[in-house]
Amino acid sequence: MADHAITRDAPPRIRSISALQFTAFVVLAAIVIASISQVAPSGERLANAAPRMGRLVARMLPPETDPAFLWRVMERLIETFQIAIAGTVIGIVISLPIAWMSARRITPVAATAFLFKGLVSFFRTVPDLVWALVFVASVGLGAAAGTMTIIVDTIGFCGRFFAEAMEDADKKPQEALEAIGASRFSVLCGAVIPDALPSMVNTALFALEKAVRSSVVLGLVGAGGIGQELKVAFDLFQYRNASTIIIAIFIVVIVMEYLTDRLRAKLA
Amino acid sequence: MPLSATKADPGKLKPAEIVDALRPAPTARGECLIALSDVVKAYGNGKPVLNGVSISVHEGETVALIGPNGAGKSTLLKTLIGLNEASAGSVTVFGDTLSRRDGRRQKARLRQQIGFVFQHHGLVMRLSALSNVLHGKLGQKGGWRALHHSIAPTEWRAEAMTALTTVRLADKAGDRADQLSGGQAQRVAIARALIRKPLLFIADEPSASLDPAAGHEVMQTFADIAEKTKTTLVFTTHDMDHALSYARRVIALKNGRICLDAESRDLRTRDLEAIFHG
Ligand SMILES: Nc1ncnc2c1ncn2[C@@H]1O[C@H](COP(=O)(O)OP(=O)(O)OP(=O)(O)O)[C@@H](O)[C@H]1O
Ligand SMILES: [Mg+2]
Repeated sequence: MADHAITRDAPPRIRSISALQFTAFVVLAAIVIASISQVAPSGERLANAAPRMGRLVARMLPPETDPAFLWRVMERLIETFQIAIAGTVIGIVISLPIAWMSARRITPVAATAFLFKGLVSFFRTVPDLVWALVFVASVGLGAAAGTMTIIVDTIGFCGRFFAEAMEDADKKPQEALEAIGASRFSVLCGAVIPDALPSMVNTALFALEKAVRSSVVLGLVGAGGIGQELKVAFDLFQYRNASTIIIAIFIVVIVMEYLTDRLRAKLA
Repeated sequence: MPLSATKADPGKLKPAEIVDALRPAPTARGECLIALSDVVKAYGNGKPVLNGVSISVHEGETVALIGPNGAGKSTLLKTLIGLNEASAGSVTVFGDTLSRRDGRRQKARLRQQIGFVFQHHGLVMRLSALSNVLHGKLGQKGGWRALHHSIAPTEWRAEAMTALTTVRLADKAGDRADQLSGGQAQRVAIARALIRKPLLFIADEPSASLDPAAGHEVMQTFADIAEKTKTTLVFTTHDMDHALSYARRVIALKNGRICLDAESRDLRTRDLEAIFHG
C-alpha cells in the first residue's frame, strides 16, 4: 500500500521505553496515588463537611456593616498598605546595590558576587510566613515585624531579577564607556541601568503586588495589618466580621492588580 | 635649567639658548604616539592572533588598517587602549608603556586622550543623542555629571552641542538613540569621541553596516575633523577605496603579521585586493 510506504520512515506513534524509564514511571505513579489516598479528603469526609460548610457560610451572611467596625477595617487596610509600600520601597532601595554586587561581569568585586547571590537566594527561598514568625519573635507583634518581612521578601525577589536584568543589558555600550575610561559605577549608571530600566520597573511593580498580597496574610501570625483582624474574627467566631474583611481584601487586591497592570501597559 | 619656548623671555637668554628656544617644534613627522614592538596576542591558550607586530604611528598621521576577516585588526586596536592585554612584546602609547600591572586609574588616564569608535556604535539606546555625546566626559573629574544631559554643566552641554553640530546632527540632539538611523548613530558615536578632544582617534570599521553614501559621509567627517584639529587617526576598514582616499598610510594585516605598510598615494585598489586573494 502506498500509505504504508510513505509512513515507513516516520517516527513510531509510541517510542519504545527502556526498563529504567518504565520503573521510574511506575514509582512516580505509586507516589501520586499514595499521596492522594493519604491526604486528600475522602468522599465520605467531603459529604460530611458539606453541610458544615453550608452552616459556616450562612453564619457569615450578611457581612457586618456596623460603621465603627467598617472604620476599624479601613484603618487596618491602610496599615496593610503602609506595610506593603514601606517594605517594598525600602526593599527595592536595598536590592539595587545587592543586585549590582551580584551581577556577573558587572559587579565591581567579582570575587564576592556569589556571596550576594547566595544571600538573595536565601532570602527568597525561606517563605514569608517563616520570616514573619522570626521577626515577630525578635521585634515583637505589630506592623514593624510585617514591614521587615516584606523588606526581606522584596530583596529576595528584586535582588534576583534586578541582577538578571543588569546581566542581560546590552554589552556594547558598556564596552564603549569602558573604553572612554568610565568607572564601574559610571558604566552602571550610564549604560546598564538605562538599558535595564523597563525590566526593573516591571519587577518592582510585581514586587509591590506581591507585597500587598503577602502583607494581608502576615497578620495571621501577628505581624500587623488586616490579617490580624481576620484572625481575631475567626478566633472569636465573629463570622460576619470575617466575611466583611474577606470582601475588603478581595477588593483591595483586585484594585491593586488592575492599577499595576495599567501602569505596566503604560510603561511598556 | 629647563626652558620652554613659550615662557622664556628672549631678552634674558644667552645667544645659544635663544637659538634653542626659537627652534621650531619637530613637526615634520611629529611625535611618536604609538609604538608597538613585536606584539604577540593570543586569547586564552589559543593560537596567537597577533604574531609579532611592530608599528609606529606619529602625530598627525592618518592610518588605515586593512586585512581579511579574523586577521586581528580589532584585537590590535583593543590592545592599544588596554582593553586587551598583549601576551608578549611592548605597547607604548603617548610615551607610556602599558604593562600588565597598570591599574584602572592608569588605563583611564591613557584612554582620556583617545577617542575610540567601535564597529558597532555602542550608544545607549534609551538615552538621547545629547546624553550619549556627554558620556564622552565620563572618565574625567566630576564625570558623573555627564551621565545625563539634565544634570550636566552648561559648558559641557554647549561642548556637546558643538560636537553634534560638527557631525551635522544638532537637530537630533533630543532624539533617543534608538530613533536614529545607523549612519546617524555612528555619527553620534563620533561626536562622543570628539567631545573628549582626543590626541588620537581610533575607529574600528566606522563605515561598516552603512550604505555607501552614509559610509563616505562618516569617513569624510572623520577625515575633516582629523585634518582640522590635527588629530591622529587610525581606522580599520574593508573598503579599499576608503583606505586609499581617507588615509595617507595603509597597513595590511594578515595571519597575525604585517604584510604591507605604504603611503596610500603609491597604492592602487588592485594592490590592496591582492592581499585578500591567495
Ligand atoms: N574575545 C575573544 N576571545 C577569543 N578569541 C577572539 C576574541 N576576539 C577575537 N578572537 C579571535 O581572534 C581572531 C581575530 O579577531 P579580530 O576580531 O581581531 O579580527 P578582525 O581582523 O577584526 O576581523 P573582522 O574583519 O571580521 O572584524 C579571530 O580568529 C577571532 O576568533
Ligand atoms: Mg574587527
